[in-house]
Amino acid sequence: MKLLEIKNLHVKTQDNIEILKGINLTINSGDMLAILGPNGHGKSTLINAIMGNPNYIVSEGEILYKGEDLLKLSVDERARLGIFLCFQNPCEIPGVINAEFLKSAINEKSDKKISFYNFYKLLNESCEELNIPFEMTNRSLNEGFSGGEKKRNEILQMKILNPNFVMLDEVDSGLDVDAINLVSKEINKQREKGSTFLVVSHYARLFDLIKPNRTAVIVNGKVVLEGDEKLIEKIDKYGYEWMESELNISVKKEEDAPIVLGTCATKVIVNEK
Amino acid sequence: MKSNVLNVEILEKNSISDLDFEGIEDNLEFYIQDNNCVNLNLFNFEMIKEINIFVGKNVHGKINLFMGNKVCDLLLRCNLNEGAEVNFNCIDFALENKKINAKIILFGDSSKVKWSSSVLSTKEDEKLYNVSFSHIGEKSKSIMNNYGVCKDSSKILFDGISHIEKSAKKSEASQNAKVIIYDKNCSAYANPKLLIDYDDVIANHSAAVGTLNEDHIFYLLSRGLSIKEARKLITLGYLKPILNDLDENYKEKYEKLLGDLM
Repeated sequence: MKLLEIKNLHVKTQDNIEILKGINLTINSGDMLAILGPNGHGKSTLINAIMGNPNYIVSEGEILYKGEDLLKLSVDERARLGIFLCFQNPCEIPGVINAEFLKSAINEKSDKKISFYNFYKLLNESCEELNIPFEMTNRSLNEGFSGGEKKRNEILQMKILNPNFVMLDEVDSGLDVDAINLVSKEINKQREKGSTFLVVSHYARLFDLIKPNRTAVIVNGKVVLEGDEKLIEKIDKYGYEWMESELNISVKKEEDAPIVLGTCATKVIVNEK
Repeated sequence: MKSNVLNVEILEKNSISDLDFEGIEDNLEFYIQDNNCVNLNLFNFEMIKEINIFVGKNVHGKINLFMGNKVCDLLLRCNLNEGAEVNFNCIDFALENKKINAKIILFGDSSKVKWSSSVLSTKEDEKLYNVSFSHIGEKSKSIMNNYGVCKDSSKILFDGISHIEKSAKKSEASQNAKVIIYDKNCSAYANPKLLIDYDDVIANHSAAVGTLNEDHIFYLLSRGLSIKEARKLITLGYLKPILNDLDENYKEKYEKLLGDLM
């Protein structure tokens, strides 16, 4: 059954730079789809557009989730349909306590509020399984967390919110070997519960552990190739350059890709000697 | 016309006092004798224009100021002697204009003060806070954290002055002011000033006035929270930490009040 259909999706940034230039992709229920591609070619843009990040503007195309037009829904409505994005760099929100935030998120999804006892039981058990110190849930959301702690906290949220469709944006970056094993185990458990996955990663190690059944490669803002797990092995071994001759495309290098400067300090040196 | 003054003297040495004052109409003067430990809670002091606090040597104190609806214009003065440490928590979720002047003198060596305020301003209210610290004693230390949330057509002004005088060698002063602006008609100003008359000191100041962070909102929405709930959670996170320093019954009461106001 088709869970997510993406048709001719064009997405640009607020600065009017087009990142996605006509993505076509279908994800079926139960799929574990690996998304690969060189840096800066649109993998994260795709999953942010599916989630509805206002920093990315859909200029053309459609995204259907279970046949429903996702682009007409707000971010929270998409989340309440069961779509979950595990962020590459989860933001730190001072003062918002992790546990209180999670309780609010559970309650927003359900008509009946979760009891204090059931919530803490669920939270405690989930923390134990993910080897997360329970005290972390009483800290401000992601504030002062290490890179690995942030990623594990994302997985904790996934486990507790139990979404239908999970998008993982480089969940393995910043994790040590033990943490990757733990996170992979949790991803596999979530898949057994019936969740569908879209996984962005650069590393074959994660894919070895979660075993995607499908692979798609995004180059220059388009899906240029689809295949099975053998495609991951090939890219891991040879990189992306072979695609230029086999697919007759030009793979834009990172230095050629448009750079968007955020709000950062700039320094101009005049007549430097 | 001279106001009446209520004198409260805590004279017994090495004692622990937990005192609540509610609905007092006279101005207040506290004399806290050396080596005491004091926890003062001041509620609904509508008629009080002045509070003077004299803190003896090595006193450890916590002074919670719960701003009632009708407190309009208050002058708070506090003198700290050698080794005294006092934390002020100013909780202002009241629905009225406010003009609060706090003048705290770190007179004794190694005296310490921490001032934290949490201010919610709504409708057309104007809340003006002017907090000043004068460091006179050596190795004295001050921390000022002013947090505000400004809604509707209201206004918040945080003026902070930390003055390290020549005598206050090796002193430390830190100021932090932050205000979230909710609506386009409200306004907020944060002016953390440092006046330094001696060079062997540590001092820092920061100020931030702005709208809610869009990335924070997106993160919370992506977990299914409605925009209203996301805004509420971030705002409570902003104003609530000060309540963690209160006793449990006050904490619950003011958490509920804040939740109702958002």
